[in-house]
Amino acid sequence: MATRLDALPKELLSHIAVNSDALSILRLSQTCRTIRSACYDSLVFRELLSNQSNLWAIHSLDVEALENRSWELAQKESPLETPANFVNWLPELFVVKHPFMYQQCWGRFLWDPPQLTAKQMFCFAMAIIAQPHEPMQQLEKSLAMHEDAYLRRDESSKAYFWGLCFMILRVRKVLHTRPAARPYHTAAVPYMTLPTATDIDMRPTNSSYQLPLPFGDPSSPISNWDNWYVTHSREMAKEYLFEGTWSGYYTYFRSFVPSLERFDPPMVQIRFVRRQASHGEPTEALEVAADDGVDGIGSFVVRGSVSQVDDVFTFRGHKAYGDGAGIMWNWKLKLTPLGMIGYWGRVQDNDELYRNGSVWLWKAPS
Amino acid sequence: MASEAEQTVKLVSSDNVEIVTERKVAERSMLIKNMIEDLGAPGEEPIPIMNVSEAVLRKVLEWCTHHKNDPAPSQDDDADSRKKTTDIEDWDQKFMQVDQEMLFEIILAANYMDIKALLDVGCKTVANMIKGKSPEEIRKTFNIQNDFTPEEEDQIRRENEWAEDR
Repeated sequence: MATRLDALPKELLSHIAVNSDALSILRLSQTCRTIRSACYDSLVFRELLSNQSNLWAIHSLDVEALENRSWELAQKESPLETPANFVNWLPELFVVKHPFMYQQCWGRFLWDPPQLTAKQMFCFAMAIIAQPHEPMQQLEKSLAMHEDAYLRRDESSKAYFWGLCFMILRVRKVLHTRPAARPYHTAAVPYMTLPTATDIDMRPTNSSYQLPLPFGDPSSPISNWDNWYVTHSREMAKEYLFEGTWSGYYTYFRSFVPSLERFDPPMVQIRFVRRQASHGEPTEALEVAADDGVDGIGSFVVRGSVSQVDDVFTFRGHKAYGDGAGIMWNWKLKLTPLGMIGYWGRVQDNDELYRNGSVWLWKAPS
Repeated sequence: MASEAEQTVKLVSSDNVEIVTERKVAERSMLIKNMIEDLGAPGEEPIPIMNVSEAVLRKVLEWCTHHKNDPAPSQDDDADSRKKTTDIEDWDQKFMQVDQEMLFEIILAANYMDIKALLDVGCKTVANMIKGKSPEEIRKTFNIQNDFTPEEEDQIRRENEWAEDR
């Protein structure tokens, strides 16, 4: 008898399945009964999850804790059986390319943004950063639906992460599909790819605080994530901000520039230094400046200050071209473990920023 | 007495063909390694590999010869496999360019002979053949008989619909 796939013993079929990805398993399981009984099994999905956790276990995460956690999770839950619990496992689910990521969770949570927590949005953002090659049209659609209502106004951290997700997806798409359509593609500053998960240093200081997983136990009343996040932001507002060089991109909201293809070259060579407050008033805020920034338009300076409100560290300031004498745009960025994320636009009379688009600055890998 | 490196062992395939190979090569198979250890020094006694035909056994030994100097599988097998990448190295990829029947025979033989690395390579090769294909394409590729009733098939399709709509 000829040896065929569907004649392999069950354990070998499962072994093939766990070397695959979740979507492949779902499709494979639709082919015939024998294969379905071997592959469409929560054990297979669990093994897939724990086997491939190393793909996400980048240098900046606590690898051992992650492995322990994924093992622990794999013992008791399956995305097939308890999807709601898996929201805190978005990065892992991305890693195994579980279809849950592509549709169900967006459908479940993104249509109703207030349901999401900042932590969950942070997980989304991390997961998106970790999977640069995965098309995510569904997510993009969901995010785009809220561009006007939500992205342009909401001040919460989760809205900022939301904006980052949206920006990353859009930048990737433009970089990927329409290189010639971009303006300035011959500019002095070449387009560059967005940082991957391993490019972002999530451990900004040498302090000994424990870096918890960004997706700790959701049932725990005191969230490690919150502590970590706050500690991280606080540390960022110290030396971390002034060490090394920052790079980034800015994008346009459709309401400001309707053409989706409008995409400017990156901003590079941003080196922040401490600045003496000019007006002499005593201030709690940390004054920040950068002089040598360059982007597709030209050279620019950055001026502003970092202030803290309720454990959230925010940079407010401006970017001005031509040694500060040229065109100026206001910035409002939050300091997060994923970098400085936020918006650019014009500050209005009520001191609010009218947002024209998103900004993401990350520290260039040294 | 010959040193361990020069020792040879005799294997006998399921179709009764005797194959002589280096002990070091044969011991990529944990099945053979354990047998040799149980028997003491490998003597003239041929080792029967009951489930593996000559053609497949030769192919498996070809893989073992290429990989004979790989580090032995560590005790901590689990931790080890996690560090591995999902990629297949070039030589192995070429090695696996065989017809499907041989591919599955190699997987079965690697499983029976307990050669974990070869089993992984085989399974990854099949996994790569599945990736990106629709159920119907998978059926065609592997000549799988669809034995679901139309009702069952419809239900499964509906269950998976959300995964497909990307």
